[in-house]
This record gives sequence, structure tokens and C-alpha cells, in this order.
Amino acid sequence: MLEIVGVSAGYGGRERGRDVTAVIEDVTLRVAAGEIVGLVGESGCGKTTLARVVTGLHRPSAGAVRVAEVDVHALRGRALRAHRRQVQMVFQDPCLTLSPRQTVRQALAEPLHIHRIGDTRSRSTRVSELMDLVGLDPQVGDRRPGQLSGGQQQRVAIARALALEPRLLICDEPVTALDVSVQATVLNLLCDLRDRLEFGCLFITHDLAVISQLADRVAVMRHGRIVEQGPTGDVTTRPRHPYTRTLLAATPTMDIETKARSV
Amino acid sequence: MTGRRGGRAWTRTALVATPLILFAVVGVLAPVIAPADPTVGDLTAGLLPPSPEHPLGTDQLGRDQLSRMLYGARISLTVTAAVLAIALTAGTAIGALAGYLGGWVDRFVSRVIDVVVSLPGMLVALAVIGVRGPGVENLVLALSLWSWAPYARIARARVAGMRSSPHLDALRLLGAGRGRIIGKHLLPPALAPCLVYASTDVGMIVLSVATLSFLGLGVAPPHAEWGQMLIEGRPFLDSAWWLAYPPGVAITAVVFAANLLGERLAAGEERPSILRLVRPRWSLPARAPRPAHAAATTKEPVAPTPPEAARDSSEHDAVLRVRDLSVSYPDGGGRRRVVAGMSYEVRRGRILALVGESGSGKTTAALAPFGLLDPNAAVTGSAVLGTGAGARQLVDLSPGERRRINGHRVGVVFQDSASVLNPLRTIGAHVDEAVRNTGRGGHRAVTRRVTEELLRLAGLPDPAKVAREFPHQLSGGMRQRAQIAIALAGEPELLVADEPTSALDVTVQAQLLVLLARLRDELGMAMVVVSHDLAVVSRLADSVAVVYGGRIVESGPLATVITDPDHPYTRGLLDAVPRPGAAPGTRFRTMPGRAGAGPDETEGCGFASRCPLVATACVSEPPALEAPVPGAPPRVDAHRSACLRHPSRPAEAGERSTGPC
Amino acid sequence: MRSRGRLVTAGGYLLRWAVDVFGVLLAMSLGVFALVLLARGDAAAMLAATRAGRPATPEQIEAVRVELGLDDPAAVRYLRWLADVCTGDFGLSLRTNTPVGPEVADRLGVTLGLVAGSTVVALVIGVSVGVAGAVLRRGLLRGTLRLAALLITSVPAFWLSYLLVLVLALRLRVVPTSGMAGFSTWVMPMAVLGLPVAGVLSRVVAVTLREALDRPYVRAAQARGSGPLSIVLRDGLPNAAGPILSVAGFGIGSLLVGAVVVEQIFGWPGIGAYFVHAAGARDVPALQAGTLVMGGGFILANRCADVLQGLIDPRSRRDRIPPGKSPSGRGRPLRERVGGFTARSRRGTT
Repeated sequence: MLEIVGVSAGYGGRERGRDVTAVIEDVTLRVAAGEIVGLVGESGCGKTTLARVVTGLHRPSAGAVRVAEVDVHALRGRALRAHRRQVQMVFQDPCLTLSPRQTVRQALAEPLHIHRIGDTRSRSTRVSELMDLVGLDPQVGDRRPGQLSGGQQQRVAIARALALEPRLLICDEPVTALDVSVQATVLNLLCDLRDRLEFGCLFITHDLAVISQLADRVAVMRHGRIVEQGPTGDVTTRPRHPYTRTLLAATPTMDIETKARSV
Repeated sequence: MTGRRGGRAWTRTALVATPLILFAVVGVLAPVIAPADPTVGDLTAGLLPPSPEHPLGTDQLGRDQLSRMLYGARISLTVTAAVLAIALTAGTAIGALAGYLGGWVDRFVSRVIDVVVSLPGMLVALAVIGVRGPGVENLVLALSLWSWAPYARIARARVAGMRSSPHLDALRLLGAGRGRIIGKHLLPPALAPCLVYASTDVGMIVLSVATLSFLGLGVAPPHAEWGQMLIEGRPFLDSAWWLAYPPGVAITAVVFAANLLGERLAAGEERPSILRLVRPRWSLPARAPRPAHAAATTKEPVAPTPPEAARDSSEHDAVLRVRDLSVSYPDGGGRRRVVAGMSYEVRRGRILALVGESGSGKTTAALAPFGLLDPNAAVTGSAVLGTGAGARQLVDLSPGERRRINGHRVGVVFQDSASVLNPLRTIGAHVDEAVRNTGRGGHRAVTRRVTEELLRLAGLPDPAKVAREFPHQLSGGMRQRAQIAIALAGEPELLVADEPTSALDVTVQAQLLVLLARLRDELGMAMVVVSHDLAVVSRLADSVAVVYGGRIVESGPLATVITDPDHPYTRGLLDAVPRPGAAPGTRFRTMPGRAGAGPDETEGCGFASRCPLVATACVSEPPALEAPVPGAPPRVDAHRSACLRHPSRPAEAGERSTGPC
Repeated sequence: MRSRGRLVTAGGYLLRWAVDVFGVLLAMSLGVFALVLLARGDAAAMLAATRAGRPATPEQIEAVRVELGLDDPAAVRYLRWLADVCTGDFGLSLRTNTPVGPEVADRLGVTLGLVAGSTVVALVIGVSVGVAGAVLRRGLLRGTLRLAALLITSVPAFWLSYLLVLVLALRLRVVPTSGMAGFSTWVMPMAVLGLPVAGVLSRVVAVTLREALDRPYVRAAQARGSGPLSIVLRDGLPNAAGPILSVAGFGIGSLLVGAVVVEQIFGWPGIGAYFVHAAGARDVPALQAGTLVMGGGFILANRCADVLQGLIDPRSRRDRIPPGKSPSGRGRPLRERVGGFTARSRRGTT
């Protein structure tokens, strides 16, 4: 579904064939349909830049990003916009990604308007479907983002990203700003949606603990390079790269087991 | 309730704007409502005082003063409307475009805006009219030439700020084109602050027009214009008040209304700052806002009574002993509690963690004893710092007494080190101040030596260099260490840390946790750590208090609470924490519903609406914090839980049906 | 990604500032010169008529035209004019046929004296009332100060002068109505000129200082036991300095322009009065000189405020924005969030 091949990117233009400030270098990564791949790294390692390159918001200085066999950065204008339906993104702070002036229903109808899908009635039906899909109460439809809780905002953002039925979903720290109990429900939702809609998912986070329970495969990123990748169980139990080991050791986990008791 | 308050604010705004509305209406309708022609006078009827025939009298040429006032409004309004329309349209368009396009266009336009904004507007107007002569068109030209720039600046700042925001990225990803992005998502938010600015600008333009007319450079006689009328009235200052006052009052009223409206729209109501100069009203009794909730207050779970507290063996070495702490804020007519009847204590060399989700009141509960809340917070209950002769009641201290506690006996580390350090002062200046406050300073060099020692103690390598740096030059982890150094300046008995490691990278977080543990072990410091992260807490704390809805729902030694939680909420929290070794795709067990109800919103258990074990009694009766096992000593630091059902009680464990929730 | 830009040293910052000011002054000179192009009527005809004492003949006009070089291309005329201006030669007044430069120089002293006096009034009253407005907790007093400040800025200067003349000069007879001789004649002009600026300044100080005092670092200072005075002086005012300085710079600059009205009313022989006469007679060289001198002073006052701010705040000297993310709003909004009325003061008062 997603193929990232030898991608490098940076900011500040290029001098003598190199990025002035290289942020990611020679990243190669694949995400299959229906698979969740976790990308883990600390702040400033280039995770977000990679997400921007994958979605086509930032142009790589080398390498290629192919989504469903199409090179994202070779497209222009209308073709690019049409292709964008295939890749959608969920951002860290849902409050910043939703327009404060639009109600939930307006925000969810926005992608349908942009791509001129359906008429007023069918759009309204679709918006209701989407709200149902992500478990939003129909009565929040007329509220604005400011009147929603963090978890609800993120559900709206997920619903909007799924409105165009993308085949690939990029999630950039989607639960970092949420409380742990809300985080759990949003992660469950993502798992359920992946099972139902079978999109590929690149899940970017700093939290190895979250990834280990969510992703099928994990890639560990440091200083713009992927230092280790493999099936989640292998990476978290038999890390090969010393950095992965450091990261695992530093990640606070509940080492003490809670007595099993069903409530 | 917010609706009513919003309605009242709206009415007041409308009231403030009344002179402006009147100005507009009169300006438009002047030809209809004016009793006479403002330019035609009757020389025999000059300088008549107000009378039924001439409500504002007549001027020296016998012209009706009221009619001249009304027509004066019309000229002012014409010029104001024209200038405003030109400036608003051109300014917003130029600014928004520059902000959106970015690159060299933006740099060029910004430069032009900078130059035009930094020109003295009135001088430009004078010069332009000086070379072009008076008249309405020239007035509009002279004022429009520079009036657009502030709008352009505001619109540019707004649009440029949004250009790289995730919001627009999301729209681009959805496939939105430029036209849609600019027209639907950039212009409306950019226009809003421009309109706010326009409300004050009206006053500015009216004042400019009047001033230019007064200098004889505005509208030529015999046309009536307020500034013009004031020059003509000048000789009669002392004799014919009806000539010298009404135009001045009219100009002042319009400009004043515009200023007031602009300030209202831009800044909203003023609130008092955090800085406290007088003793706050601590002793105010916490009242529930509505009678329905008054019942809840009376049925308060009984806090540990003095005899019980006296039985505490821990009392002798408890560094901080908090009993029945409540914090309330004004809400509507009454007060609403955010923390209700909390009791906790922490001993020397021990770390107590207050755990809860955002909005649970954990930070408020931790900072309340030290007077670090907003000034309108009312704190009741008791909080005693220290033991024996040094024991000190913290609630109800005056700001002066508080300054001898804070920084000396208690150090505080706040969340978000980026905003907690003054960006204009070096790290060294912060620590120096803390050292001087505690009286350990002296000569500059002496103080700085202590400062460097503290920075080293907080684990900062090369303290001399760090001391010379500004907060924004340090990483988040280093800033947090600097905060710890400041907190250590007074060699405090107690360290309060609010989310000390959140928003930091895991490797940095791990190092900070090691530092905090060392301070506890090596200096024997007591700590209250506030955190939302159970995993962090499990690495650091000795005992835990789980906070939900402004109350402690479960507390006790760390190991007991984590391995054998009693309260359903604690269990729910623990279930939501990712576990290492779980198979990919394993679902988390989740709690239904959402948090947010404060202690005054429910009569019974705050968790009842989300609880899988809820019983009828839970909704009406607030559970007391008590030992889950009957017969255990009622100590504050023992394992206690506020649940009627006490699910961990062995006798009841078998009775419950099993199954996923 | 933390925004950590390279810092520019204070010296380099000053140099860049000087270049910047020079650029703005140059841009302004271009605008001032362009006044000629906006002018209605023929300057040559006006000057010729002034010299002849009656409407001039076409030959006389042509002679003046050649003398002034009015037939040259605009660019050439601009450069020539700029060179002359740099040596203090502003040309001949179309109204009086005398050199403009010495006349302006003579009157400058009067205006500068007035502006200096008013600056003191504006700063002392503005800052003290503003600080009071920020730290007072009594709603009534705070509200009164706020309304008074807004009111004083809303009264047209010329009407305020009338009221003062009426009360102080005509009724109470404590000061003379006009002229400039002795301290008593300075009271009213300084008040009329300085008070509105004080009003604007007090609002800006109140709003920005209050906002600075609401920042988390104030709470942190309380937590380490710092007193209120130390907090206001070390944490409050420096962090509020940006908007305060820029408004103060603008206010002081606008005093120069406000002097136009005040000198006219109180009969002071300053640049302002000269400027108004020139504007009334469409005397372009005199207008240019007046605009250049007052505008230059205005811009200098403004830019001095900016450079002071740069010296106080190391972040505003940051060389470039680090890549990736735009500078986080955290450090900046104080300046931008002060909207409406406060922003209006960026425009000067009259």
C-alpha cells in the first residue's frame, strides 16, 4: 500500500546537492493494506517530517513515496488532489486541525464538498454514517470543536480523515494529548476501524508502550534514520540496536502486574 | 447560565456602541430630520440661545445650530465610511494575500506595511491636503493612504499564522484548492480582528476629520463640520455655550464610544492578576451554587476528625498533613468546588503521588496549601507543614507570611518549564533570586557560587555556562532541572512537583525520575508529585492517591494500590495503561462515559455514572474513604478506598458475576 | 523540535537597526518628494507670482521653471533635491520667497521644548496610572482609571484646549490664554499634548502588564518566595516592555505631530504652526521640510523604542526562524494580542 524508498528530506533549501538541514535520511519503509506499522522516536528525530513527506505536504530531496503504486510527488494539480483521497492524516492536536468556526457536521461534510461528492441529502446521510462509525453521539453534530472533549475532537478528526475512504491513514501522535482512559478508547477505535475498513496505517508516536500493544510491525527512528524495524514482538523483546534497548529501558511501563479480577 | 451571562455582555456591548449607532443613523437621515438648511442663515437671528424653534440656538450668522450638528455628522460619516471601506477592503486583501503567498511577496509587502505603519498618519494627511487642497475627496484620499496598513498587518499576521497550521495541512490533504482555502478558511478568521480594529478606527477617523477641519484643511465653509463649527464657535467660548460645547461633546462621544467598543471587543472584561497584594478571602465558606446541591454539601463524607488524626502514629514525621481540603471558585451567583474534602499526608523521605486525569483537581489540590492558585479561589480545611515546634498552618496565611514558607521550606516544580521561567532572564538570575530570597545569598559572587552549586546538584553539567543562558536556549529536560535547582535553593523540607516529566522524551524522563529519587533518598526530602501517568508514578512513588472528580477515591501504599486496587476507577485507569507483551491489536479495557463532573455535580459517588458495579445506593450516598478490609486501623496513609461495594473485599469477591465490561 | 535560533550580538543588532532606520528614512524622503507630484497647481507659477507680487507673465514662469530645474526627469530632480536636503537646503518658500531651511531650524527649538515637556507628562502619568491599573484589585478604582484614560484620549485636542482656556485662563485666571513666556504658559500646551498620550500609554501598560503578571512565571516567582515589587519590576514590566515601548515611541513621535494643533491654538512659533501656514498656502517646499523634519523625528522615536525592546529581549534578536515549525506563539502573542484600542495607539493622536 505504502512504499517509502530511500527518502531524504530537509529544510532550508539545498546547497551542493545536500539539504542545508537534513531531517530525515535514506528512510525505507513499507506498510501493507490492513497493517498498522508503528514509527517510534523521540522529539526532533524526523517523525513528523516523514509524515509530511508521505502525505505530499513536503517534498523529499531524494527517494520516492509510492501509495498504491503511484509516486505521490510526481503528481500535480488536479491529479494530485484526486490522489489525496487515498492518503489521509490524523494530527496530534485535534483542536488545531479542526476549524473552530465549523460545527462537527460541517467539518465532516467539508471533504465531500471539496470533492463534490453527492448532493445535500446524501452528504447528510454520509455524515451521520461517519459519526456513527467513530462512535460520536448524534447530538454533538451541531457543536463546535471548542465545546467537545479532547477524545471527541480526535474522533471527529478521525471521522473526517475517513470520509473519503482512504487506503492509507497516517496518525501523527494522535493520542499524546489525551488522558490515558481516553487514549485507550481512541486506540480501540483505530483498531476496530482498521479491521472493518482494512486501510493501512502508519502510526507515529514517541511511546513504545502504546505501539507494542497496537502495531503489527515497528520501526525505530533516530536522528532521521531508521535504526531498526521488524515485527513488534521481536523489536520489543529482542531489540538488536542499542538505541532501541535504551528506549525500551527508559519507557516507563507498569512493571507490577495488577491482580487479575474481572470487574 | 453562560447564555444569560453572554446575553448580558452583549447588551452592555450594544449600550457602549449606542453613540456610534446614533452617529450613523443621524448621518444618514440628516436631510430628513434637520429642521433647517445648515448653510442658510438669518443674520437678524444671530447668536440666539436655545429655544423651541432652535433647540440648540443659532450661530453668529443666524444658522440653526441643531441642523448644522446633524449635517456635520453626515460629512463625518461620509468620510469615515469611505475611508473605512477602502482601508478595510484593500488592507485585508493585501495582508491576507501576502500572508498566504509567503516568500518574497510577503517580505516585500511586510516591509511596505512596516514603513506605512511607522509613518505619522496625521502628518501624511496634512501634507497631502496641503498640496491638494481641502475637500471631501482629498480628505478621503489623505486618510486612506495610510489607514489600510494596520488592517493589512493584522490580516497578514493572522493568515501567516494559520498558513502552516495543521488545520490547513488537513484541508490540503483532503484535497481543498487554493480558492476554497483562502475564501472559506483564511479570510473569515482574518476579517474578524480587522473588524474589531475597525471599531476603534472609526473614532480615529472622526477625530482626524475634525482636526483637519479645525486647522482649516478639511471641509470648506459654509458646509457644517464639527471641527469647523468649533473654530467658528471659538470667539464665543465664554458667552454662547451652545456654540462651543455641542460639537466637542459630539466628537468626544463618538470617539469615546469607538475606543470603549474596541477595547471591549479586543480584550474583553478585565480580571485581577495572579499577583496578590492583599490577604485573599480564604475564610469564605464553600457553598454549592444551587440549593439542589446544598444537600450534597451537608452529606459530605466525614473527614478524619481530630481524635482520629491524633491516633495517627505517622503524625510525628509527616512533613505535610492536609485535612479536609476544599477549593472552590466563584460560579454564577455561588461557588463551585473543584476539590472537596481531600486529606493526604507525606512523610520525610517519602514520595506521595496524586494521580488523576486532566480536570480531576489533582494539581489544584497539590498547590492549594501554598497559595499558588488564582486569587478568586477559596481554600478551606487544614494543611500543616512540619512537625513539633516548626509546625505551621498553611491555610489562611497572609502573603507576607507565605513568602517565608514558599521557597524556604517548600520548593515547587511546575509543569511546562517553557512558560514557567521568565524568558528575559538568565537561568542564573532565576536561581540567584531564589537564593537571595532565602537569605543564603550575599555578595554577587557568593550568591552565584551557591547558584552554581544548586545547578550542579540538579544534575546540570557546566553550571557556570548554564547560568548565563536564557530559558529558550535550553532543552526541556535542562529547564526542568533548572526549576529543580530553584526549588532546592531554600533547602526545603517538601518538594511539590506538578507533572515534572510530562512532555519530555522518555530517555530524559527516565533521568529526571532518577534525580527525583536521589533527592528523596540522599536529602530525605518529602515530595508530592502530581501526575497523570500511572507508569511514571509506579517507578517513583511510595504511596499513591487516586483523584477523581475533585475527591480522593483511593489511596495507600503504591504496591497495594497497583496490585490490588479496590476502587473501580483505579482499576479502569490501570486497565487503560498499555502493557508490554500484549499481542498486537489487543483491545484495551475502557471505561464508558467521560470524566468531568466536579464534586458539586453529583450527590453520590462521582464515578457512579461510569461504574460497572454501580448500585442504587451509589447515586444518592457519597462513599467515605475507608479501609477496604474491615477492622483495619483508620490511618490516613493506609490503603483506603471510597467505594460502597469495596470490590476487593474477599467476602464479596465470589458473589460478582464475571465477564468483560 | 525546540525553536532555538542563533542569537545576534547586541552590536550586530544595533548595526542592522541603523541600516534599517536609514532605509525607512530614505523611503520617507521618496514619499515626501512625491508630494510635488501630487500637488495641484504649478509651483513655478506660484513662486513667480510671489516674486512679482502679481500674476506672473509666461516668461517669468518659464524663467523660474528653468531656475528650479522643473523640466528635468523626476528621478534627477529627486536626487538633486535629496542632495540639497542633506546640506540643509530645502529650497525657497513659495509663499515668502525666503529659504525654508533656516526658518525651520529657528522654529525647531520651540517645538522640541514643547515635545520634551509633554513627553515627561505622558511618561510619568501614563506609566504610573497604568501600573496602578494593572495591580489594583479594587474594581471601582480600576474602572475609573480606565474610563478616565479612554475619555482623555477621546477628547479632540483643540476642544480640550478650549476647555482648559475657559477654566484655567478665563475663569480661574491662573495661566495666560496663550503665548510662551515663563512656566505658566507651558502648563496648558503640555497638558493638552501630553495627557492623551498618557491616556493611551496607561491603557497599554495596564493591559500588557496585567497579562504579563498572569503568566506562569509569576506564579513560579511566588513559589520561590519573591515579593510583589520584585515580581512587577523583574517579571512584569520587562515582559510587558514590547508593547509599552512601541506605544511610548509612537506616542512621543506623535507629540511632534500633535504640536501642529497645539502651537496653532496657543500661538507658539514652532514648526507645527509653520507647517499649518504652509499647508494653507500649498507651499510645497515648506511642506516638504516640515514633513521631513517631523516625520523623521517621529520615525526615530519609534525605532528607538524598537531597538530598546531588542536589547531587553534576547529572543527578538533571534537571527532566523529554525526550520520545520513556525515560531511557537508562546513568546509572541503578548504583542499581537493587544488589539483594538491599544493597536490604535500605533497611529498617533491629535
